[in-house]
Amino acid sequence: MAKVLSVIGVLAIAVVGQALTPSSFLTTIDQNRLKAVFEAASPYSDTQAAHYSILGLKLLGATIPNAQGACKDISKLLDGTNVASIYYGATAAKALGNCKIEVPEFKKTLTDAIKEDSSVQDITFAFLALKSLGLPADDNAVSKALLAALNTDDSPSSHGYAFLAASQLTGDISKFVDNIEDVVAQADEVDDKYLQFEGGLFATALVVDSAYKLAEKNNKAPTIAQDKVLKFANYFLSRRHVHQLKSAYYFLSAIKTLTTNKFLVPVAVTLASPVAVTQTEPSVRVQVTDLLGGNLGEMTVTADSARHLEDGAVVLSKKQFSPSSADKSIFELNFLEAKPAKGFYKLTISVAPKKADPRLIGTTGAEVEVKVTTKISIENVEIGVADKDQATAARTTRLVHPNKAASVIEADYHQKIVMKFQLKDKATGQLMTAHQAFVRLTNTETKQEIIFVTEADNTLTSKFDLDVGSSAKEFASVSGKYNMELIIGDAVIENPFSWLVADVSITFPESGDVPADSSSQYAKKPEIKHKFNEPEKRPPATVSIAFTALVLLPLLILLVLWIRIGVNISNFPLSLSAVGFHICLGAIFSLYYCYWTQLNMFQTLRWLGAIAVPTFFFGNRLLSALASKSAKHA
Amino acid sequence: MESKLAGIFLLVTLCAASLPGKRTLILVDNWSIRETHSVFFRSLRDLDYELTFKTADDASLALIKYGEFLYDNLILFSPSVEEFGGSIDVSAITNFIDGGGDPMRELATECGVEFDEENSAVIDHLNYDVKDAGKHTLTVADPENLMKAPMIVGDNNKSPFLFRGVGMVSDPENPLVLSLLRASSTAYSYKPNEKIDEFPMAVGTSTLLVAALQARNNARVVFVGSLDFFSDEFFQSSVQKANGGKKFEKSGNEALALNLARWAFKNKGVLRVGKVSHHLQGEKEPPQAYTVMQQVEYSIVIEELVQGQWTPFKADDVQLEFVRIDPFVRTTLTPKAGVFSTSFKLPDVYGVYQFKVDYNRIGYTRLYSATQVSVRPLEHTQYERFILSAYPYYASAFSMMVGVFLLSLVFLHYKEDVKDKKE
Repeated sequence: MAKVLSVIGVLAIAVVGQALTPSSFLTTIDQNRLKAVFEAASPYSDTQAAHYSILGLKLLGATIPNAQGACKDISKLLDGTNVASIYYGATAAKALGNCKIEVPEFKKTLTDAIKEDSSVQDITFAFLALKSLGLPADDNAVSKALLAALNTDDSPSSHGYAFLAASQLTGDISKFVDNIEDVVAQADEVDDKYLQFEGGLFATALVVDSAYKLAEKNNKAPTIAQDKVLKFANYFLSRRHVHQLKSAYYFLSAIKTLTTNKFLVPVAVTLASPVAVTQTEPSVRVQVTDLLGGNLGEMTVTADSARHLEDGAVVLSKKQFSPSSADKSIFELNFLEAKPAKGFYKLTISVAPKKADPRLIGTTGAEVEVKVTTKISIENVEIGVADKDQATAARTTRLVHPNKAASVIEADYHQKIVMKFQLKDKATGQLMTAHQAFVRLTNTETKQEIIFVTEADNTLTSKFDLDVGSSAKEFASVSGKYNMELIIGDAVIENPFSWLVADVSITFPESGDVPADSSSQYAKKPEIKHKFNEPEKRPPATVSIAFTALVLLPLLILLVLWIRIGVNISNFPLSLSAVGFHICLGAIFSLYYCYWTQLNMFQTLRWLGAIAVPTFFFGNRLLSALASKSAKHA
Repeated sequence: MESKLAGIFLLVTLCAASLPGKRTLILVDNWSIRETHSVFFRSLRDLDYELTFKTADDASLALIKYGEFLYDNLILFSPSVEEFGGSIDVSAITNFIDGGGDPMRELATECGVEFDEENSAVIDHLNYDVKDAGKHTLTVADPENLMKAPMIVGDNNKSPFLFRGVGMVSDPENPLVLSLLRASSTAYSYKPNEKIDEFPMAVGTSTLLVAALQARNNARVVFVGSLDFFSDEFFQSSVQKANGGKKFEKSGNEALALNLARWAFKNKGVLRVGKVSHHLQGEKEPPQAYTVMQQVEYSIVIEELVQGQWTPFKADDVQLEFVRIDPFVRTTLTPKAGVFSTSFKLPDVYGVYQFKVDYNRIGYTRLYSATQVSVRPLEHTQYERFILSAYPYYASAFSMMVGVFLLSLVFLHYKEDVKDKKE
């Protein structure tokens, strides 16, 4: 049983030890970015911004622009009744140096805040503010108040503040020191690589930073396991793009603490050369530093193993890096001497200081990933057109990279375009395949591109077969000229290329329409003008007038003939009914004329009604008179 | 490693609100996204958005309470969520857009965008960044591959974009999906560690990196296959193509991400129709019905939301259609301080017509205004009365009337000759 347990224990350590060493450090670029974050806070919106900005810049060793102005700003922004405001202002002023702020109510506000029902943060702020103002503080009361406040709020950040206060307390601080282990146990592990508190970067950085400050004061290493420190360090480095002022300050402070404290200093093993190891750059260079990029002194750096990631082959073991002449922290190893095959490798590296330093952790099992790349050449390229039924052998032409085929290759839907090629590793002379070996056809007019994948057979010859007839769908049956390109690429190929192989002219049985651009629905539409019906063609005016005359002619003839024969209407009785009837009849006909020229139907009918009554009456009278007269006559 | 980094990102906005809202729910996989993407969130806060963070599997998640949407906008930064918590599911989110398994992919498919499989990544062996970790998955997308849609992507994108994530393809049948950012011709989407033995889902420029959808109800969705695209790291990173490209000090990610967010959250490109009026030329009020071939004046007020204020919209491509099943007239409206007007002659075909303004431009909300009017034929008195070619007919009719009048006179009062009397 014990044996099994120990095996598990060893395994666990092996696993833990494997990838925990930080693989990067805070470079000058990162530090400059942080500097920009701190500088951007000026002009300060409140004392908190001033505090973090000034202290952050100080940590970076940068000068504070316009220190006198900053001092004045702080005095102006200070709120004498707010503990946090005083704390931020007082510490910022102290950090500036040569900056005195004095408000009479400070002391009262601060001493009032140190009581058992204040929050941990307020007590800490009040205590630290008193310290930096040089005012006396009752350390015992602070310690008691803090412990009481921690009972009600035991979040990691509260503990962090408490550690921060305790690191300045005189007297018994063992209770706080004992807390460190419990608080660290609350951290969550992510991906077996990072350790963080729920409050994120700020809380994590605060706890780690203040725990170490407390430990320095206590002069005893904090009870944080080595692997946990490494995981915290990894977590911090993964958040190096921090942009928030407060988090940025504590982040920087924690990183700084992890490089300067006297207990545990994580070593960062960073790959300083490109990921790709090539013939021209055969060395793998690693930089061994602390988290801020500081030199750790003379080192022996050994590559314990280099393992191929795909087949697991180990190509070297226990090989020493040689120190670089230019930079003391950089170590070199000619990786190609081990004759590694192309591909990805994981190098496991351990470092040992020449002068033993027990502080350094993460000295074994550091990992860097490199890839061995190679140049390739493309050979035996043949391109041609064959009949679909393969009755005749393909007529092929040989091509040499990077030249284009001299003539345009023409193919119709009975034929297919065939291409063959081989890829050769220039270093070893062996044939190989590439992850990406695509043929791209681009229509020279529509720019429509169609991509095909080539296939490699057992002899590592890649083939491309384009059956024109059956791939009409891909081309949307658009005949025309296409540029044929061969794209070769792979993660381990140093010289990927896109080679214009040939121009091909493809003919499909029925030419398809160029597919409509989907964005056309968003375009302005063509204008439409309504086409009005054209009026019918009319005869010339003279014809109309002539025919008008012609139809009036019979009336004229009638009148002429009547005058000729001498019509006699002397029987006309001079009675009211006779005169009335003819006038009314004439009026009806005149009404018709008016109807034509101006009236509408309803007006006409009204008038007609009015005229019709007397016409009927007079007409009746007239006709009866005429009838009785002719009867008398007879 | 690759799959972890690859993430799917979604910005969704809600349609129902008359004014674009500020309440924004952000669903995340883990809380660290708040820190690693702080610049993006801070920019949103600067635009006055109220951000609410929740983990995607939070059991108390709800989008709708008592029939009201609790949020106006939704950001899904949760590529690896297996099941949404609470009452959110794909249909709840599609409901959110309309009014189990891998919910992010399903959701995208509902919108006509298909993400490539898990563990796949966009690979480009010819256009990758110098900081690439070796697999050529940190690709560089040129601003030339951006769709010409200034309203969505902004019009000043000069720096290339860094992208590390999964590719998408859009459904060609879905005309509403906009391919905002395409990969270059040499890119493809596949699992980096596996040999290509089937045709990749996306190759060349058909590989979409950023896609957008504006639904017919003007709800907007943006799809990005990379969570890193929005990270502080990519925002601040420099860009340089590995094979000797020009170095840009800052990637274009930040500007593009912010433009995408502003568009998706309806901070820009929002239009509305104001007063619509139409009448006869020289009059003020519309008649009961128009008559064919009359001269008609039409005007419409269009306003654009600029920084929370409705301001007159400026454009010279607003078109009016006069439609009876098919458009009879389509004419461009002349703008004047937000009032778009025109004057045209009605067609000579009677029927029930609509004045229709259907303004659909990339990046803007779709404007649709239809006003129905009837157009009747000429009244019997409105035809031409004095047609020269018809004069023979008029003359014959009137000569007939004159004839009847004279004949009645002669016929009734004719006095026979004395000679006859003797007989």
